[in-house]
Amino acid sequence: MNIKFLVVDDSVTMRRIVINSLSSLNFKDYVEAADGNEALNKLEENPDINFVITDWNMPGMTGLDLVKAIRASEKFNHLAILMVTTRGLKEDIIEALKSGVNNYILKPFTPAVLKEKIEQILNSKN
Amino acid sequence: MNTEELTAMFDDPEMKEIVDSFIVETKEIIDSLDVDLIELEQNPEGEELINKVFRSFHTIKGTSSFLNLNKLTTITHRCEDILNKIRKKETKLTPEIMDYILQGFDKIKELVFKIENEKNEDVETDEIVQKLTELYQSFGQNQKTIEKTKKKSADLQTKIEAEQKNDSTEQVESKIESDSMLENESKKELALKQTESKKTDSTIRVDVERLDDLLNNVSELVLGRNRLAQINMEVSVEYEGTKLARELAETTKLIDMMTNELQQLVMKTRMVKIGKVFNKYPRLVRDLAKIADKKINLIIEGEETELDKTLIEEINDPLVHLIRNSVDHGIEKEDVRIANGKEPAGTIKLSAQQEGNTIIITIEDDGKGIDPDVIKNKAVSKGLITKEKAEELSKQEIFNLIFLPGFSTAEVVTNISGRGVGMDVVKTNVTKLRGTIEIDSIPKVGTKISIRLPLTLAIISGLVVKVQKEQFVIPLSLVIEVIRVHKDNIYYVNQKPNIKLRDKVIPIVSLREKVLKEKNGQKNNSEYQYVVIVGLAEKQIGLEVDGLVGQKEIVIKSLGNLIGKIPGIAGSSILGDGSIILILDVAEIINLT
Repeated sequence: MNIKFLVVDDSVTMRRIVINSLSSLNFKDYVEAADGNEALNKLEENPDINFVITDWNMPGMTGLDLVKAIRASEKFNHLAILMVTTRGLKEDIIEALKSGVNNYILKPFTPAVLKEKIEQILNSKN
Repeated sequence: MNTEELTAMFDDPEMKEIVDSFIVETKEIIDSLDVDLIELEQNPEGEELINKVFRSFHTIKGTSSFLNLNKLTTITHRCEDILNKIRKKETKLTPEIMDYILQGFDKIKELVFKIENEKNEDVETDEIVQKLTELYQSFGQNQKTIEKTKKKSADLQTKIEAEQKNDSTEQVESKIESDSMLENESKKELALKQTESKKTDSTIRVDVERLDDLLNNVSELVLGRNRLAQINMEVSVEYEGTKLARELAETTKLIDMMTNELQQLVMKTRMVKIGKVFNKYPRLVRDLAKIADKKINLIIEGEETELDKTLIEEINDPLVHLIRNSVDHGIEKEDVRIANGKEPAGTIKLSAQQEGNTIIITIEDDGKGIDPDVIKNKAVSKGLITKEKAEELSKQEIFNLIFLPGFSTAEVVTNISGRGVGMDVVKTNVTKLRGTIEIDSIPKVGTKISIRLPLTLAIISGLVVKVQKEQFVIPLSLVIEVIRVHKDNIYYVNQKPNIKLRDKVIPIVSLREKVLKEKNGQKNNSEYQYVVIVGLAEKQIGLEVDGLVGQKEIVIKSLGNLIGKIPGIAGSSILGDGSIILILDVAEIINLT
């Protein structure tokens, strides 16, 4: 199955880092968005996106709000979501999981860890 | 990461894109933090603001950690921790905390500079990291509980990861729960937010070099357009009424219009908001005021005003110098101000506005002002002018003495200004940008300094004038007025010609003598003489010319290496008929007199 990613982060550099990691794992199909609102627009425009990698802390609509919005939408609630963040506290992890993320990755990560997380999600989905 | 590893990373083509993006983004964040941190100090309760500041540090921490910039990651992390406490209202933002954060922020700037320019992190950071860590630990909570929670959360993370592998039921349950809870609300939100944000993706980053290339090409196009217009004129005379002439005229008109539009667009693309420079000053004023032990408010207006990128880069130094002066010599100490019936805190107002093809930047303070008598005496005692001459000067001319090299009014050399760079350097810088500078001051009330700058540098509107058989261009932005003077109204003082214009005496310069170097050239025999009054920095002079040709768009080209520098000439350009025209360097001509 072809996987098309949506990479959401307000920092261009972070997006480059994530995309670079994805490319090194041979995932070359992706779309970018700088915040939650743009992400939702990109989802509408690209119905073939099936995997969302989002940052937590973003201005305007946060990553958490984005996850909630995706899960609340009939059209998109099947999407795989991986949250990228630096928040390692118990409350944070619970909050993220409650909002509906499939998995969770701490910055800074290596492509190997990213690969592991993506595979975990895909395996659990199938 | 050690230096070799960092250098290797910077040279790795795969990483280059990320590193470049990191530097650009981090510098942008630093620019906005410059303003935000000072605003936060004045408005510590601002929730939006504290979140924004927190997020700024957070982003730098996140991205730098990927690049293994350990020192940068550590400092930003410490600052972020402290800001997080403030954000969660677990502690109040005191001036002391702010000082620490600003010190940390300064180190961050230093680090980013090093990383960009020397590709290493060779900055001493232990002390500040230690300070920030101690500060963080002093917030009520002691170290033990922090470590406990950290450990707990780490445990939990591994647990959760293990659970996720098995697609734990807990997670599914919580997902379902949150789904139903949020479904209705979020759907509405989703629809709303989508309509709100149709206009994303509306900006892209472009390499400055490309913009410079674009401008160069458009400049060449303007020259081509001018040539075409000239040919069209000739054809329309020779082949009047023919179909060919008509068609050429139409096409020429179209190309003329499009070239103008393109030129405007390229100019606009190069425009940068002056806020980019102004934003650095709240911090500057804060720090300077603290050193000088004065209370000062900085008001900034017109930060939306746009200027060509090159000008933005060049204007910073003069402005910093003028602000330093205002803080140091302008604004009085609090007790003096109160004794004089002024507000205890002084005000410096920095503003920018556009007026036609020029930008006016003013720096105004409500300090002690400049006493013309003090300036006069100082200039005489330093031997810059004679006592007799000093008595004849107008108020404006006295203020202009400040711009003379070797003039400094401060009685005592202080920490802030008086570092050997005087107002003469400010003037030189402004002049280099083809701008003018003016001081206005009322003792005990305050000082206002106005700087006028052209909007752009490469393509200018010029006044084409004739001297003997030669044509010259005078940049239109410097032209104040053109007058026709009767020969009897030219007065000679010490054998130097002057004219009286309203209540000003303006020296006039003969371009024939100064530029063409013809002492006894054939003089214009008519009774009247055209004089172009030009102003540069604080000076005004009149240029004697033989005729006025008209106004033209001129693309500035250097004379090239073969010819080198000719005194009084700034560059050259090509006219529509293919002939070469010289652009006058008004600043130099003023200096030659």
